[in-house]
Amino acid sequence: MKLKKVLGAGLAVAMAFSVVACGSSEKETGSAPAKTAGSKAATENTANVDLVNKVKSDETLVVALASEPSSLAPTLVGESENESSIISGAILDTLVSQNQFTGVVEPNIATKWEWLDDYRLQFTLRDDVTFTDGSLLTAEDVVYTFETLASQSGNNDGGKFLDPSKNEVVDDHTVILGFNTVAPDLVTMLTWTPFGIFSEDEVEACGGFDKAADSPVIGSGKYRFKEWVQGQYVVLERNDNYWNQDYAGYFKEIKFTFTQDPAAREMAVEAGDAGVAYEIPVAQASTYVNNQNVKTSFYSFGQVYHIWMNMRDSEPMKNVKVREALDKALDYDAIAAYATGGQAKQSLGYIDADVPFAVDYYTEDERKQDVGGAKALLEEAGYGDGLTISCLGTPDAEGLYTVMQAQLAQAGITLEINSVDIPTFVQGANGGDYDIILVGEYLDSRNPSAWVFFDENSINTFCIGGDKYTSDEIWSAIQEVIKAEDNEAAKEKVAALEEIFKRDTLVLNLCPELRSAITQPDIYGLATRERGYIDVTSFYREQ
Amino acid sequence: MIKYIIKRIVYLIPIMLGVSAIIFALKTFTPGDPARIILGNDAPQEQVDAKREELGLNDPVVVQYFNYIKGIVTKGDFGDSYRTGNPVLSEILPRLKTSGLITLGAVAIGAVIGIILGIVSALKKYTWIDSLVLVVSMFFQSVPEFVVGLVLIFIFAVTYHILPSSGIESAKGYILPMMCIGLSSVASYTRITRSSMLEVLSEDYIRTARAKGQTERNITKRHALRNAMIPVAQSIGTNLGNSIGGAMVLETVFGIPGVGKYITDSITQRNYPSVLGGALIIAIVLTVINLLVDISFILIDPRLKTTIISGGKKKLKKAA
Repeated sequence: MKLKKVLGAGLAVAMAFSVVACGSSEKETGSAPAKTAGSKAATENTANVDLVNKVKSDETLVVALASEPSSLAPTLVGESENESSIISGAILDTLVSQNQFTGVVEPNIATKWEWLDDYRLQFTLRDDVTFTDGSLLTAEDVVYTFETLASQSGNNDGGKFLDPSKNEVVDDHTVILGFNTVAPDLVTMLTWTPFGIFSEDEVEACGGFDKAADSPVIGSGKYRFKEWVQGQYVVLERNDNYWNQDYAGYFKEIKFTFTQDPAAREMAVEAGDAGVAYEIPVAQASTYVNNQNVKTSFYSFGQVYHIWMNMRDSEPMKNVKVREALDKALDYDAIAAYATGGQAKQSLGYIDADVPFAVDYYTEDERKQDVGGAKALLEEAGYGDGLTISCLGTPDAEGLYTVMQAQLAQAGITLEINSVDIPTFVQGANGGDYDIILVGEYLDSRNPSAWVFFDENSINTFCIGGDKYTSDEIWSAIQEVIKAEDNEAAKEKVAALEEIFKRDTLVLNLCPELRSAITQPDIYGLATRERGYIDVTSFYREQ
Repeated sequence: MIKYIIKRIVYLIPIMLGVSAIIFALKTFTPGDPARIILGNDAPQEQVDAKREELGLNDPVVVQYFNYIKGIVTKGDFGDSYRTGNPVLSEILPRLKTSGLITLGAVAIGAVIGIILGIVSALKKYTWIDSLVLVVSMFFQSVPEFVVGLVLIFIFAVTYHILPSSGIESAKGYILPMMCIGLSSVASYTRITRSSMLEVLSEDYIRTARAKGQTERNITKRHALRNAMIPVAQSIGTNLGNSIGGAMVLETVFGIPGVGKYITDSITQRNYPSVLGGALIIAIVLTVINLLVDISFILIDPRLKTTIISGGKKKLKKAA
């Protein structure tokens, strides 16, 4: 009898306990927004602003990622995944690095560089950089790395612009790298993670490319590979021989865990099981801003949400008045508020406003929602009785499409949302099976790798290419942007490109795409790399 | 008995063929070229074509299907993962062990709590305790498992730091997912135990025991509980399959490298060999579990031999 009473009471307490726990999940405490980076979105905390740290500790930093990568050195096996780029970015070091706050390319393994002609770039290397096996990094290793990239990752973004036949070892610490296209900003591409340097001896010691991709005891980065327990975690350990001890990692080890559910990743940080939770959906992250147990950061990374119209020679999208009607029917402020969780405003140009060569080509006034104007344009186009169009998107775009659906309905446009998984999306995008399509385009630099989806030669195989419209006029305008001498000169060329887009209403610029990360409150040093990947080597704990 | 076991194993063949045919059809008719998925969107068409040839994707679907089944039967080869290039079987087996452990633990938790609540409920029938037990057990059945999972993480990991929020690096990591899945099945065990207990408690031999002056504790423990447990044991067996399904969903919440997470990841990656191999292996495991459960029923209650093995034919013959 006593046992039963205890059981009953225990269960009642447990129920009450869970109700109380759920109710206290958000501790509402106000805190002033921190200063933002440049003109980046207004945020609670932002990236790339508090990186200075020269202290080291024996702690382990646990970083909760969404999924496990299929390899840890993706370029060796011709792959590219977000998670593997984050991990390999800590293992491999690049010739040059980009200051993500200023956008300036800075020396790293290479102390200086110069263009010998349009296609050849000469680098002078440091003489104190060592690999995992203790050997010194030389020009031979740089050539080997770039030859490997061209052969193993020749189809990927960067690899296709390399021309190994022009590579040359001048001496142990001077190397010339060749390219097959003209672009002064190609040096920015070399700051990207896939261009990290490794040696042939290391790859052979691992047992070849495939084995080195799974157990990458290679590179000269701030951290070294220690262990990968498949399905569970990856551990890196600090490279105590890193050439720049002033900026070597604070944490002795970095451990990556993989949890698909973003709420579970956030709670891992709250529980103290993880120091950092990466890639929390922005709308969800916004709900943690006032939670004092964690620090929520938002940052833009040079990617803008665009709506591209299908320019096939068929109604209704070939009709410019229909395209203009769509433009007028949308409320861009509301779209930006939804897509960024209220953290950023609408984009007034094709390129993210934080990018140094971007221009604000539109004014907020001319982008105001005008339902009456949209209806008038539809009437003129012969769709006064209403219009039905279809859109293609992945499930994560469904919310944004739903917001647009409601706005377009006011003007008499019915939007049919076709939400599919990624492989189906890619196939539909390539096949042009849509009227409009939502795409996030990453245009953070003027290196040609960032603009390939406009290239007629790659448009058939690039996921957001397909039937998307391009023309000699557009491609020529893009070439002008790429070949411009510097960012200031490029602005004028970007304006010319924007004019083409605006004249024909080819694309609707929505808002910057943001990423967000959640850290323990006393962890600082959130830094990013290309495409907004976090640089896990920069984190440190407040002393 | 041996005949019956062989018969049940033979039944595996059409089940396997059915499962594999359905997934093969999905693979064939859903968009997305596996060769393109392996090589990436930027790969030239010539490379994609060569890959298709290498994978046998240009063969008629029936030939592809036949080759696949032939590989399994002759070499135990479930194919190689498109993502990693490793044999699917070698990737799934360790994950199956993890999922199996969680499932067994979950069933144990669910059964223990459910049986205790069921007994309490039966002994206190039509009282507020009975109602409370019903509400509590229904609560855990009604709330989706992933929500219960997040609440458990909040309580045990975030608030009290007793258990890890994710991962299975230590034995502690298994507890939350086991609890989560186990709690969702408490209601069914409670209901079965309660009704079974009530039925047994109204039997004549219980009345006789009472008349002989046996204590209520003795009656419950020695006479009622043993007999009431037969339907509960059957329910535990059938729940094993459901719990494996529950584990598959929760593995994504708790970051557990189980077979469920493996299959769901493979579906989003269009990694067909892994999906196909995973589904087939799970089908085999579930069929074997069902067989073992049926055999255990016979061992627990020999009266069931007639019903399970001969489908009641003998009984019918006798009656005729």
